[in-house]
Amino acid sequence: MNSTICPFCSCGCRTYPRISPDERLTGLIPLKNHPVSRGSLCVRGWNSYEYVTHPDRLKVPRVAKNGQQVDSTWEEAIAHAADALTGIAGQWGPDSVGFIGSSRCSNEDNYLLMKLARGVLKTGNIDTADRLAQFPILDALNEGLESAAFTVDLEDLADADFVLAVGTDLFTDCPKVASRVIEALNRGAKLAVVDPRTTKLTKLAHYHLPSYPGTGPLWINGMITHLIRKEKVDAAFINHKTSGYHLLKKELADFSLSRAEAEFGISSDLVKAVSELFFAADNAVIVVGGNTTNFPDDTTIPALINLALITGHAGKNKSGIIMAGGNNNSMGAWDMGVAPRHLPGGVAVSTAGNDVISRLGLEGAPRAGYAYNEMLSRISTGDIRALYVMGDRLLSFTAEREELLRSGANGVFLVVQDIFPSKLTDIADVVLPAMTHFERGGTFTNLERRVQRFDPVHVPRGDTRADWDILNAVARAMGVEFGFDDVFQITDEIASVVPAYHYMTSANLGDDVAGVMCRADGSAAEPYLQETWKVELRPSGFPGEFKIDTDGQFPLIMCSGGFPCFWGTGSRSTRIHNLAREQNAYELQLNPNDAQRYSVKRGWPVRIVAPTEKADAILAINDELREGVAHLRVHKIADESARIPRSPVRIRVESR
Amino acid sequence: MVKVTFDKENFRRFADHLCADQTVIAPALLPDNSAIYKYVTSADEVTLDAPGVPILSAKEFFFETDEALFTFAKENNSGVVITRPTDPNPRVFLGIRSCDFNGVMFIKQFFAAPFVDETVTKKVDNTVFISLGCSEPAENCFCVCCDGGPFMAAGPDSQLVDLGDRYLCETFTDRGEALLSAYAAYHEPARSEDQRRADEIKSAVDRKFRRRSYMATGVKQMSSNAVPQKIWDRLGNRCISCGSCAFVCPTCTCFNVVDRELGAVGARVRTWDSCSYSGFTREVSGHNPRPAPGDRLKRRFFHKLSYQCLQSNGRIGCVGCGRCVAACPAQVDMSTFVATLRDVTAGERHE
Repeated sequence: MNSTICPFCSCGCRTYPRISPDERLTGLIPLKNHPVSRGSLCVRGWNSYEYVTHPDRLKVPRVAKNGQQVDSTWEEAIAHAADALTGIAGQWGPDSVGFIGSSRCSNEDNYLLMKLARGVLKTGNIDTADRLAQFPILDALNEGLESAAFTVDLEDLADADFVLAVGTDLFTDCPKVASRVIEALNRGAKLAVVDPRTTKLTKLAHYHLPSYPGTGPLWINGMITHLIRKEKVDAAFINHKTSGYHLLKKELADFSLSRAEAEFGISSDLVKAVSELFFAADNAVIVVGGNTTNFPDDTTIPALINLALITGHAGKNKSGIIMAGGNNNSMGAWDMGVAPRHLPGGVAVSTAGNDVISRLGLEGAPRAGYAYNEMLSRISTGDIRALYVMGDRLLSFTAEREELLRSGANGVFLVVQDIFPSKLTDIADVVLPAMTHFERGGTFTNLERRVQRFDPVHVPRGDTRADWDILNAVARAMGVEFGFDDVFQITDEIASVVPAYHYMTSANLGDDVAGVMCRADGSAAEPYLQETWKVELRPSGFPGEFKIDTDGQFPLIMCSGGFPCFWGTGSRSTRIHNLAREQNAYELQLNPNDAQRYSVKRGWPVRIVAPTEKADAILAINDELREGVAHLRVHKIADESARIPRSPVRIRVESR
Repeated sequence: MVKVTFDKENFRRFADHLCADQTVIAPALLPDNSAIYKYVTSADEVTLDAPGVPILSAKEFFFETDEALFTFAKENNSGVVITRPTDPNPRVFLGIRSCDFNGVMFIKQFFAAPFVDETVTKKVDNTVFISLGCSEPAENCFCVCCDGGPFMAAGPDSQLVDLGDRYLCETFTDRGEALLSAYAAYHEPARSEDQRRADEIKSAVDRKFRRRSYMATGVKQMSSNAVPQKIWDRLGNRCISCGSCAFVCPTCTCFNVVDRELGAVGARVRTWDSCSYSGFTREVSGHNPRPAPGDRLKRRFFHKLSYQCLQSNGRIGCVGCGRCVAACPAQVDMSTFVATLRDVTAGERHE
């Protein structure tokens, strides 16, 4: 009996299908003896089946002819896309073509996209929307710990004595991680949450640090400073397993927690208490989420890594850092090298040796390319003349996207491969209708770096094809034969070229419903248990000058967050009845004093005004939210042209 | 009451023959060695000794997860043609557990009043039930506290008791007897020693339950609204409103009705729903009488455990299958709730 994996969050629950006599997917059942699902799903998982048979599904390829988009055939559409891309790359150079992959698509899809980009068109312009949240976390973990996912799996998490959750609304972002945290709490563990918002998780927390967005590194470095001064550090671990401690101490020598407290009003006693509990715990775990980058800097993760290292909560089982956030295959997309500056396996383009290059079948030195946002902003400058978009609506950069939509076919040659239509597919030069993952097989990598195989559980709708199959055909039309007839052949190639995926052969994956865990160097033993493992403590630095400016034009700072019944950009969750009914508008939460200050009331329609964007919402009052912070709960990207300011961002609120 | 025995080899042959003649639902094994009820086509798939209860209850075969109640299409320019589904085919449900059978009866009762919803009731009526009594309760079972099993004295068409080398089959209905006579080659009349062994098994099983659920206390507390609010707050802070409890529960009947395009026609579709979802109770005005997860949990337990339920349905709304215990990711299931309630109120009595 075929089973599949839930396509929403990065937990990776395994499910069995319920199929009606007329071959519709009518339900999903969680797998009981599975280390992630354990016999239950979240509200999204249970209801996810409905979007597969939604009438909006893209069903036939389309091409733009004479400014009009018309139905086409696969042969024509793929030939058109291939010719245009090779033509543009030939005329303007490989840097003029960009590829956008998807953390919702499988490892095989993303791997082939990487091969098409780097191997065939020889461009380094490949990235994914996760650049904005998950990938900076993975990059920092990879740099700081030599592994983009650390040592803690879900089972370990349930045994934690102390959990420090940073920038994550677990119940929304990663329900199975939340479930393990509850288990740990029921066993007597303590929970500290660093988050400017109030969420279900902060309600359960023993310690809530409502850090002002952007100041996370201050409090974490405050913890580190306190522990260093009190000598509550694991000296043996530091000596044996790290280098650079003296530099860290030097950076923090003059750090004053009380000065930070004075400016941002969080009790330094609280910070000190949490740090001591973290140090003293037997098993301490740091859970980081996508909203960690609600702090607009790259200092938070390095600071957290230092905290884990100096307290010895690294390099052993049941302690360390776990990433809780992202999509069903964020980890996989990172591992497959859907990134401008690293190759599959996390090898930096700049340092890739010949062995890596030849193993990946690339000719010549791979180039570093533009990141997601850079590709978009370079459309109007003419640097990017063709864009191949797989599984993305480019909604994260509203200004650039609007520019793209406005310029339409004139601005850039656009190939879009997706399951549902959008304003992007409306203006595309080529639209390639893809299968949902329910209709095909492949592998996803979850937040534990567990690779799991999924098989088809539904007959394909319309004339759709699997993403990898489409890419295979595009390469063929460009004269390059990848040679894949079956998705699991790609899985096996990945296993042979990516060291961490060494054991992820299709045969091994087919045997075990629980999937196979990655090891950073392909060996069976955990890398951090090796005698030789040693990492550098790097001073994290501090965020730039941060001033709260309550008198200025934009006196509030807004963070956004999701909603258990919503996911991503809503293209799927809004097409599922039991999810879509849960909320009808964006909800902006304010502290009651702020609401009064800005003359708005509960339930009022309000306008959120940011320096370059506006959005509309309904106001809600949250007694527990700190002053100066606004929390936007995003339910659905209702109007694709709604310019939702990307948080964190300074705003003001006006009534409408 | 007709009593026969099938030795296990003959039972396999019987199951094969039955699958060839009829549409059969039975417990089967999934690749992770958990059990599931499914349509089976041969005795090879039938696994009556699968460990634990099947992941979902039997209700999905009667009250389906996602079912078109009728379809509608345009007729010429002004008419609408409504097409109702054809009557359900007869089926045999082989090896349904007592808790799940009681769940099906509860669901049929729900859908039979105040008007008869034939999309459910006809499916129940058209199914022959050969249940399997449980001689070994699974880890989370507490049917014995809920009048849900493990053995029944009446109800299904037949009840199987596993005697080790054979099954005793006790038949309670004419329809059950008719089915047995059609497969007489595979069974023989029960001997008195078979009956004796069955009686021993039935009386021994009560002691084997590992989970004691204080349902009587639960019913009393819920009915008199004597549950401290702090329990609801504590449970509500943990409940993630996933709906797992409602979906795995044999007696939950929450549903949503939506209209969908189904190719060239429209379909009015009934899908499963859960009262733990915020939108389930939210009104058009935007007001929600049960805004907090704790409020919805309170409603859930009240619905199942109060005297009102007893009066309306003739039994409490829980059959003690233990599925919610296993399924709940936040440990706020029925059994934990009742145990917490008992501890808290006992504690308060001593304060």
